Amino acid sequence: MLAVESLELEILRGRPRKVVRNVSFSVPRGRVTCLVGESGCGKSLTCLAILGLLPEAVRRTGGTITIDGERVNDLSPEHLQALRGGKAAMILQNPMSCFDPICTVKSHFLESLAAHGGNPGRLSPEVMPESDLARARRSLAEVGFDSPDDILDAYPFQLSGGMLQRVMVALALLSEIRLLLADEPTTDLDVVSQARILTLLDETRRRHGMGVLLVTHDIGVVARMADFVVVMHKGEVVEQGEVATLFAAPRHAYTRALLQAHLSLYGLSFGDEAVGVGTVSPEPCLAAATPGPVPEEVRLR
Amino acid sequence: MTLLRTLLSGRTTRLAFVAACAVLLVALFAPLLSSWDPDDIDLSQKLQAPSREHLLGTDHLGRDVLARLLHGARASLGSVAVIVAAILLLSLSVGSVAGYAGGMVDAFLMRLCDTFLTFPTFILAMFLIGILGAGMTNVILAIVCTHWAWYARIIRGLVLSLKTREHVLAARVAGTGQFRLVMRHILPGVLPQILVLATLDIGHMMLHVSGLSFLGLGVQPPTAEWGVMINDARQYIWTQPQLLFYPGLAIFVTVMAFNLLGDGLRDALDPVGETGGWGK
Amino acid sequence: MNLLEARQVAKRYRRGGLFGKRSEVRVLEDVSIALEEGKSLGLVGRSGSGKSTLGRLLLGLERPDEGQILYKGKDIFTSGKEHFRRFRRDVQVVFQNSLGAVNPRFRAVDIVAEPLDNFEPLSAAERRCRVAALLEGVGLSEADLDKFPSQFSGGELQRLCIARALAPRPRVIILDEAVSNLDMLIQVQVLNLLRRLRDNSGTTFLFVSHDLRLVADMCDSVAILADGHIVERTSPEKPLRDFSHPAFLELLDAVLPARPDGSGVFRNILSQERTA
Repeated sequence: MLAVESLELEILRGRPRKVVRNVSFSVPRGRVTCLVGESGCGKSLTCLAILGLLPEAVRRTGGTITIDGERVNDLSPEHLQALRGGKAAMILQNPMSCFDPICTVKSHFLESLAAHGGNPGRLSPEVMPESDLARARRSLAEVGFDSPDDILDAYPFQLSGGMLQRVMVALALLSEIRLLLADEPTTDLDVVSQARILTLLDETRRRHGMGVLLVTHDIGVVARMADFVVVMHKGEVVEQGEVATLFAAPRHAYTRALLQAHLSLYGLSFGDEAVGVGTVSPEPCLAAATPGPVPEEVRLR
Repeated sequence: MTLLRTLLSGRTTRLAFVAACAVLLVALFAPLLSSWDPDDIDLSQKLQAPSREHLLGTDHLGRDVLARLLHGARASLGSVAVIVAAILLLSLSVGSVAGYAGGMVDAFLMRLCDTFLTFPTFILAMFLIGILGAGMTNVILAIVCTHWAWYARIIRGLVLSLKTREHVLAARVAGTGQFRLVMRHILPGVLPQILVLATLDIGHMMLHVSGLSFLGLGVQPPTAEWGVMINDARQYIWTQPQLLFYPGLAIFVTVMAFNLLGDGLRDALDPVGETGGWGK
Repeated sequence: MNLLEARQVAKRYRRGGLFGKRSEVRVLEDVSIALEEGKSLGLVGRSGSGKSTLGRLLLGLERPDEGQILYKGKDIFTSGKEHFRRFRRDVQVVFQNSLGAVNPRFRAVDIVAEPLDNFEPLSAAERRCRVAALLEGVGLSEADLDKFPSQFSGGELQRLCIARALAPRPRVIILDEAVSNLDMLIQVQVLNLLRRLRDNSGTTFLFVSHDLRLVADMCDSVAILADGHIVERTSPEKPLRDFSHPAFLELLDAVLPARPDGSGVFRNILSQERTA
C-alpha cells in the first residue's frame, strides 16, 4: 500500500543538514507497520513527508514515495489534495489542535465532505445535505459514538481528547482510504483512552483493509498493534522486521536497549525471567536495563 | 542581543529603527544641533526663504524654522515619553494586582477601568483644561487618564493566563512569595507584549498631543511644538505652504517610524514564527 | 506517622457567571488519603478522575471546599504562617510537562536554586556549589548550570525539575505524571533515579499516574481514584493484585502488553506470586 524508498529529508534553516537519511520501508495492505524511535529521530517528519505536508523549513531531497502503486512525491498540488483525505488520511498527536475551535464538528465534516465528493454547494453547517449528514452519522457510529447527532453539534472544546481522536478517525473514514497514517495518536491520552483508540484503529483496519502506518515512541503500542516494525534512530532506520522476530531476537543494540527499557517497566527482561513486579531491591531492574556494552551513538547524554 | 538582531533583519524595520533613533537623538540634542534660539523673534527676518543662515527659512515671527522643528521634537516626544511612562506604571500596577488577586479586588478594579474607558480623549482634555487651564501638564494628564485603562485590561488578561502556568505553580511550591512571583515570573511574560503595544501607540499619542496643541489647548506659544507650528502656519497656507509642510512631515515620519518599529517588535517577539512546531 | 494527609476533602468548580446558568462540577468528593513517612503511595486514575486536583490540594496550591489538608497532623491553612512555611519547604513537586514547569528566562542554576533562595539563602558561591551537586545527583553536569531551558532536552529538563524538588531537602515529593511525557529510555533512567532516591533518602513519594505498571513497581501502597472518589486502596489484607473494582480492572486491562505474542499481558504479570 505504501512504499517508501531511500527517503532523504533536509533542514534548510541555518546550515543545511540531513534529518532523515536513506529511509526505506513499506506498509502492506491491511497490515500495521509501526515506525518507532525517540523524539527527534525523524519519524514524524517521515510521516509528514509521505503526504507532502512537510513544514517550510524541511525539504525532501531524495527518495520516492508510492501509495497504492502511484508515485506521489512529484504530484501537483491538486492531485496531492485529492490524495489527502481521499486515498490517504492522517491523524495527529494532539487532536485539539486539528480542529477549528469556533466551528462545530458538523462544519468539519462538511468541509471534509466538500473536499472529497460531497455536495460542496452550501457551506452553511446548518443546511447540510441529507446524504452528507447520513455519511457523517455512519462514520461517527462506526467509531463508537452512540448518539452521532450530539457529537455533530458539539464544539471541539466540549469533547475530551479521546473523543476528538475518534472524531478524527471518523473524518478519515469518510472516504474509502487505503492508507491511514497515525502520528503518535495516543501519546496525549490516558491509558484507557489509548487502549480504546488502538482497538478502534485495529478494528477499522480489519474492516476496511487499509494499511496503517503508526508512528510511536512507546514499545507497548508496538507490541499491541504492529505486524511490522521499523526502528529509527537519528534519522536512519537501524532495524526493521516482523514484530515477533524483533522482540525475540533484536539485532541492533539500540533496538535491544529500547526493548529492555520497555520490558523493565513490567519487571521483565530478556530471557523471559519474570523479575517480579514490585521488587524491593532496585538492582535487578538496573542491571536488566543495561545489558552489556552500549555503542557510543546509543549512549544517552 | 538576539532580539535586536531579529528586529534589524527586515529592511523596513531597519529603516524604521534608524528613523526612530534619529528622531530621539534630535529630541535629546536639539540645542546642540541648531545655533538659533527657537523663541528668538526677529520681525525683520520674517518669512524668509531657505538660506545658508536659516536652512529652512523663517516663520511669520522671524524665528528659525529648523530650530523650532528640532526643539519641537523635544516637546512632542518628551511629552509622549512621559505619557507612556505614566500609562505603563499605572496600568501595570492596576492590571497585575487585578489579575493576580482576582475576586472582589479584580471586579472593583475592572469597574474602575470601565469608568475611565468611557471618556473620549478630546472631551476629557477640554474638560480638564477648562478647569485647570491650558498647558502641557494637563494635556498629559488627559491622555494618561483616557488610555491607561485599556492597557490595564490587557495586562490583567495576560496576568490571568500566566498565573495558572505550571512554572508559576512550581515557583509557589518552591516557596516564592507573591511579590516575587509577580515580578520574576509573571511580569516578564507580560512586558514584551505591552512594550509592543506601547510602541505602536506612540504615534497615536503624538497625534493627540499635536492635535490638542493645534487646538491651542496644549503647549502654549512661544514654545516650539509641531502641532503649534501647524496652527501658526495655517494663515499662511496659500503663501508659505512649506511652513505647514515641515512640521507635518516631522509628525508623519515620527508616527510612521514608531508604528513600523512596533510592527517589527511584535513580529520579532512572536514565538511561533519559523518552526511552526514541527519537531520536538 | 501520617506525614501528609487529605481528610474528607471535596473540591467543586462552578461554571457560569453572574448572569449565566450556574452549574457545579464535583471534581473530588469525600476523599481521604494519607502518606506515611518513608513510604511511597501511588494514586491512579483516568484523566478527569480528579487526581491532579488532589495533587494540587495536597500541595496547598488550592483550598478544598470541604475537609482538611493536614501536614504532620495540623491543618495547613489554619495553623499559622510558620507551619505553612514549614509545609511548603517539606513538600515539593515535579510536574508532568517539564518545559512548562520552568521559567524560560531563568538559567538552570536559578531554576534549581529557587527553593534555596526562599528557604535557605546561601552566598553566591555556596549556592552555585549546592546546585552543582544537585545536578550531578540527577545525572546532569556543572556545565549545565548556566544554560537556559531551551538548551535542554525533555528528559534533561525533567531531571532539572527533580533537582529543584530535591533542593530544599523535602520530606515529601509529589510526582504528577512526571514520567508520562518522556521517551522510553529516558523514562527508565528517571525511574531508576527515583528508585535510588526512594531507597537511599527515606523521602516519602506520591506518584500520581494513570500507568499501573509504574505504580505497581514503585509504590508501597496504591489508591484508585475514579469520578472524584477513592474506590479502592491497598491494605494488609488486600494487595494490589487482589483489587477488584471495575475502575481498577478497566485500568488494568488497558495496560499495553509487554510482548506481541500474548505472553506479556500485565494482568497476568501482576497476579503472579512475587518471586524471591
